[in-house]
Amino acid sequence: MLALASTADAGTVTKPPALLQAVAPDYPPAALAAGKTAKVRVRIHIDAAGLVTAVDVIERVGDGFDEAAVAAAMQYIFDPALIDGVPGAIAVETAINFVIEQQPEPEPPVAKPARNPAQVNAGPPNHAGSMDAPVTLQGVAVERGTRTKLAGVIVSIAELGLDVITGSDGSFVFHGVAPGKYQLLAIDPRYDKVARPIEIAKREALEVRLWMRPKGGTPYETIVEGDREVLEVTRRTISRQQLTSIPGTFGDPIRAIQTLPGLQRAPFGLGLLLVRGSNPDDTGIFVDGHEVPALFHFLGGPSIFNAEMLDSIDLYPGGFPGRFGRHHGGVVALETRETKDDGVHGSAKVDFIDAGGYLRAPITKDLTIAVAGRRSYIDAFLGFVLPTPSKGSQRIVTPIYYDVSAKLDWNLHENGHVSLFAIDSSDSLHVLQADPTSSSDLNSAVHFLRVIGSYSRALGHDLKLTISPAWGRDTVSFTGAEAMAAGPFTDIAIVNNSLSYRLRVTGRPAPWLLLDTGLDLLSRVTTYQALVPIDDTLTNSSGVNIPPSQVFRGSQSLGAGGYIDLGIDVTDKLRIIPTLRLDAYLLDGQQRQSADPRIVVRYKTSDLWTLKAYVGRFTQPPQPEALDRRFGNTNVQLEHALQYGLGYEWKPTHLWSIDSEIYYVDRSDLVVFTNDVTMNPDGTYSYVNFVNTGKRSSYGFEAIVKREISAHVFGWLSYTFSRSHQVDHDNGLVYPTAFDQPHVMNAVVSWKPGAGFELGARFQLASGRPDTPVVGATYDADAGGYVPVRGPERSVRIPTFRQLDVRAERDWLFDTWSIGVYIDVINATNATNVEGVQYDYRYRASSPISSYPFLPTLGVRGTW
Amino acid sequence: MRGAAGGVLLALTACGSFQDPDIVVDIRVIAMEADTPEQVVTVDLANPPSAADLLAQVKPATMCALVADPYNTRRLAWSMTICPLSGDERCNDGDPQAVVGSGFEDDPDLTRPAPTMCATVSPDGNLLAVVESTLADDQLHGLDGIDYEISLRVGGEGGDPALDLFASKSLRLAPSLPAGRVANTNPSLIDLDAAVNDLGPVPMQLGRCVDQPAPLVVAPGDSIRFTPVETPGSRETYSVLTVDGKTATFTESLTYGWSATYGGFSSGFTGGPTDAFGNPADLFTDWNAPTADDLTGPTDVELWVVQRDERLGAHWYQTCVRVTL
Repeated sequence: MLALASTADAGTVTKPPALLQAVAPDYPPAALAAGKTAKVRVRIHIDAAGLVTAVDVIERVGDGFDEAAVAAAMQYIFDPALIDGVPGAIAVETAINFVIEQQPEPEPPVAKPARNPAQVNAGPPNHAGSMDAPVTLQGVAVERGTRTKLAGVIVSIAELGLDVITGSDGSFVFHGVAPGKYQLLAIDPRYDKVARPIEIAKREALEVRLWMRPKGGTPYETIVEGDREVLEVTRRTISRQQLTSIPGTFGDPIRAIQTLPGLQRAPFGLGLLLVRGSNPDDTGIFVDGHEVPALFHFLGGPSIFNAEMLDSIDLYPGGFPGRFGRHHGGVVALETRETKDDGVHGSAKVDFIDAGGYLRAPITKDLTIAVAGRRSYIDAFLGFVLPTPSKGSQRIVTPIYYDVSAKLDWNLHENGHVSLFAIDSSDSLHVLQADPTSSSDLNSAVHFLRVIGSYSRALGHDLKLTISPAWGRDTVSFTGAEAMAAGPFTDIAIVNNSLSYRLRVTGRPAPWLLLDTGLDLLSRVTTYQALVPIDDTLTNSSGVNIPPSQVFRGSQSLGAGGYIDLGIDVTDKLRIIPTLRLDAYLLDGQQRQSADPRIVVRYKTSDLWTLKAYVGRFTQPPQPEALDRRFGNTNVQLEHALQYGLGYEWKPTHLWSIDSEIYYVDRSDLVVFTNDVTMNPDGTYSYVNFVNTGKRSSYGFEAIVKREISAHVFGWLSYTFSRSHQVDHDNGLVYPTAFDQPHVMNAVVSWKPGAGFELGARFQLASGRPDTPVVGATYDADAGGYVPVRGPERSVRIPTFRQLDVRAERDWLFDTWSIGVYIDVINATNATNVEGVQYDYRYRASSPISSYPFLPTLGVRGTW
Repeated sequence: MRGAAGGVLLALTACGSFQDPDIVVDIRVIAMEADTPEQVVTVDLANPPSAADLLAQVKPATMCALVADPYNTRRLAWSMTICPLSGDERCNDGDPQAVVGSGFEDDPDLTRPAPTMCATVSPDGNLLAVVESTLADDQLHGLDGIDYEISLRVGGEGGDPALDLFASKSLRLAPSLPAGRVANTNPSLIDLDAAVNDLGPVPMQLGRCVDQPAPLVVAPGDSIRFTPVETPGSRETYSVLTVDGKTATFTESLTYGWSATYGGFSSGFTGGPTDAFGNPADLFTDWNAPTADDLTGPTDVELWVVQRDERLGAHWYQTCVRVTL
C-alpha cells in the first residue's frame, strides 16, 4: 500500500502519485541461500516529473535487503502527484517484501490502474475486457516526430471505465467493446493528453494509432538503465541521450568529451586528447574494443563518428581496465549502438559547412542496418567570399572531409548476436586560392578504414563471450608539404595495415565475483614511401643541395596481450579489483615483454558515498619507426607509467552526483629524439636517433558535479587542477609540458523549457599554455634570417582562456517527422583569447594569434 | 562557421601587419663575409695532431660586415667577438670568447669612400681556446670540421645599448678528409642584370647610390627583373666524409637574398636546391618601384643582393635605382 508522507511544498494533494513502472529488486544472494525473508519499509521521494529522487529506508532490516529495496525503488516511475492541481514533488511510504516462495518480487506499492469490476479472465496489462471476447479495438501509441512506440501510456474508453497500459511495443487491445461511439483517451505525464472520438461498428475490429505529442516539444530521451558493472576506478560517460545537442561544439556533440575533467584544453578547438599531462598519442581511442587512429577530422574538424551511430563515449583518464592495453595515457572508448527493428528512422542535417544523414531500417525481423555519412563543402563557396591573394602571400587551404559508416546487426536470439561495423573516413587539404605566381603545390590527405566484426552470446553461469576480429587501413600522404618553401618538394606516403582480434569473456560467475578476461592480438604493417632530399649520413645537411630520392621503409609489429580483471566483492561494501595484463611484442624483429599489475579498491561507506583508490603500471610500445634500422634505434625499449589515484563518488540522488579524484602519474623510459652519435668498433659513427631517457610527471585534482539527464535538463560542472613536467634527457633540465594548464573549468547545461525550444550554454575557463619567451634575436649571416634568443624554456604562459558558447534550437513536430532549426554561437561574448604569439622577421614586433571570434552557425536538421 | 573552416583559416592566415623583411627601414646588418670561410688542415687519423698543431696550419681570416642605416646620419659603434657556436648565435657567458675587432664606422650610407667594418681572426691562443672548447663538445671529434662563430654587435654611437643589433657568421676549420679536400671559397657574380618592364636585360652599375652619379632611372610603379649572372665555377663540387666512413659528393646550390630601401620584391629569396624533378630554382626576382603616392620627389633606392653557398661562403653586391616622378 502507498501512503503519502509529505509534500515538498505546502498545498493540497489533489491527486496522489500513481506507479507507472515498477522494478523487481534483486534478492540478496546470501539471504536467499540462507532462506531469509524480509519486509523493507521505504520512503520514496518523487519529483514533479514523476521520477524518484531518493529512497530512504525507514526501518533497516540488514542482510542486503535494504540496499536491494532502495536500488529497485530508485527505478520506479510515477505519474506525478498533483498538488493544488499542478504536478509537484511528494514523498510516499510503502513496503517491499522479499518472499522466497513467491520469487523475489516486490509487493506492488501501488495498484495498477483499476480494472473494471466487470472484467473477467483478465489478460496482460495492455489488454482490457475479457480475453475470451473478440478484439474490437486495438492500436498503438506513438510519439510524434520520432514514431517511437510508447510503453506505459494509459489508454481508456471513458464511457466504459475501461483502461489499459500500453505494452513495450506501444500496443493496446480492448476486447468485447459493444458497438457505439466513444471517446478514447491516452494519458502519459510526458505527453499532451490525446482525446479521440471513435466509433466501433458491429462485427468489426477498429485499429487506431495514437500520436502523442511531447509536452513542450521532444523531451530528452531518458532511458532507465541498470548501472554497468564497475571494473575501473574512474569512467566518465557521455550517453547517447546527451550526444544530441551540446553548445559550443559546432553542432558536433562528441566534442563534449573535451569538457570532462582530466582533459586539458586543446588550442584552436583541435581534437587533441590531452589527458593528464600525456601526449595526444599516449591516449588510445577504441571503437568496440578496437583501436582507431583518430576521433576527429583534422585541423579542427568535426568528429569522425556520427553521434547517432554511438551508444556512449567513455573517458578513462587513468587507471583504466586491463582490456585496454598498449597505452599509458588515458583511454577513450566508443561503443556503437545496436540498431533497432522499430521501423525506418533517420535524420539529416545541413549547414554552411557540411551535410550529413543517418538512416536505420530493418531488413528482416532479425536483421537490421544503419548507415550514416557526411561530406563537407566549404571549399565550394569559400572562394567566393575570400579576397584574392597578393603576390607572395600565404595561400589559403581548407579541408575536405567525409565519413561513411554502416552497422549491420543480426539477432540470433538464444544463439547470440552478430554485428558488422565499418567506417571510412577521409580528410584532404584543398588549395582554395594559390598565389598565381607560385609553381609549388600543396596536398595532403589522411584516410582510414575500419571493419569490425563481432559475435557475442551467453555462455551460461551469467557469462558472456564476445569474439571480434577487425581489419584496418590508414594512409597519410603529403605532397609539397611546405607551402612557400624555398627548398624542394617533398612527397611522403605512409600506409598502415592492421589486423586485430579480441576474445572477451565477461560476467559474474559467482555472486561475489565479477570477471572480465580475454586476449587481444594486434598485427600492424607500416610502409613508408617518400621522395625527399635526405642524406642521413651527413653530419650537417642544412642547406646542402641533396638530390631528392625515393626512400622506402617498412615496419612490422605484432602485439599479443592477455588480461584479467577480477571484481571481488569482499563484502557488500568493499570491492577489490586486481588486474593483470601481460603483453608480448615483436617490433621489427625486436622482442619486448611487459607485465602490468594493477589494483583498484572501491569501498561504499554508505548508500551515497564510495571511496576509491588505485595504483597500476601501464606500458606502451614505441612507435614502429623509432625502431627502424636506418632512421631509428633498434635498442629502444617500451615506455612505462605508474598511475596512482584516490577519490570518492557521492550520489545524493539519482539525478545528481559528484565525482572527485586526486592522481599522480609517473611516466618513464619515454622515447625521445637525440642528435647523439655513437662510435662503432670500426671507427665509423652512427646516429643514435632515439633513446628512452624521457620522463614526465603529472599530478592533479579533478572533480565533476553532474546533473544526469532527465526530461528537461542536464549538465555538469567540471574542474581540473593539474601540473605536468617533463625531462627529455639526462641533463637535469625540467620544464612544463607543452599543454600544461593548471586550471581548467567547464560548465555545460542544456534545458528544454517547452514549446519546442532547447537552450544550452557552455563556459570554458582555462589557464594559458606554457610558452617560451623571445628576448631578442640574432641575424644569422649564413642563412640570411634571424634566430630568436629565447628565455627559459616554457617559463611564461599565454593569457587565460575564457569562452562562452550558447545554442538555441526550435523543433517542430509532425506525426511522422520533425524539423529543427538551430543556431550555435561560438564565443558569444566575442572575448579575445590568445592561442599563441607570432613575431615579425626579426622578432622585434609581435602580435597574438587569437582563437575563434564571435562565430555563429545556423543549421537545419530533420528526423523521422 | 564550423571548426573545420575556422580552425584552418585562423591557423593559416594568421599573419599580422608586420614590416616587409625585404625592405630596410632602419639599421640593418645586410651581410657578413669572410675572405676564407673555410680552411682545410692536414690530419693524420693514425696520429691525431694536437689542437695547437692544427692551429699552426691556420692562416688569419678577415671578416667584414655590411651594415645599412638609411634613415639615420650617424656613426656606428661595433665589435666582433669569436666564440663557440651556440643555439641563439650569441656568445654565451662561460664560453671562451675574445674580441677580435671593434671601433666606430662613419655613416655607412653617405661617407665617401665607403667605410669598412672588418676584423681579423688570428691563429692565436684565443682561437685555440675556442677550438678546444668546440672539440670537447663534438661527439664526432672534429670529423666534419670545427665551426666557430664571429658575433657582431653594432649600434648607433652613443645610442641605447638595448637597441644594438647582433649578427653572427660561422667560420670552419675542416680536416683534410676525404683526402684532397679543397677549402671552400666565396661565390661571385659577373653581372647583376636588370630588365625594366620586360625589356632586354642590362648590367647594373654596382655601388651605393652616393657613389653613382647616374644610376638606373625608372618611373614609379615600374617593375625590374633582377637576374644574377654567376661567375663560372661559382657552384663548386665538393666531397665530404660521412659518419659511416664513406664519401658523399655534392654540387653547391647558391641562394640570393634581396633587400632594398623602397618598393617590394616578388620574392626576397631566390635560388636554392633543385626541386624533386631536378629542375633548378629560379634565380631572378621582380622588384616593383614605389608608386607615385609613396613618393614626394625623385628618390634613390639602395638595393642589395647577398649571394650565399651552402658552405659558409658569401658575397654581397649593392646597386642603386633612381625613381623619378
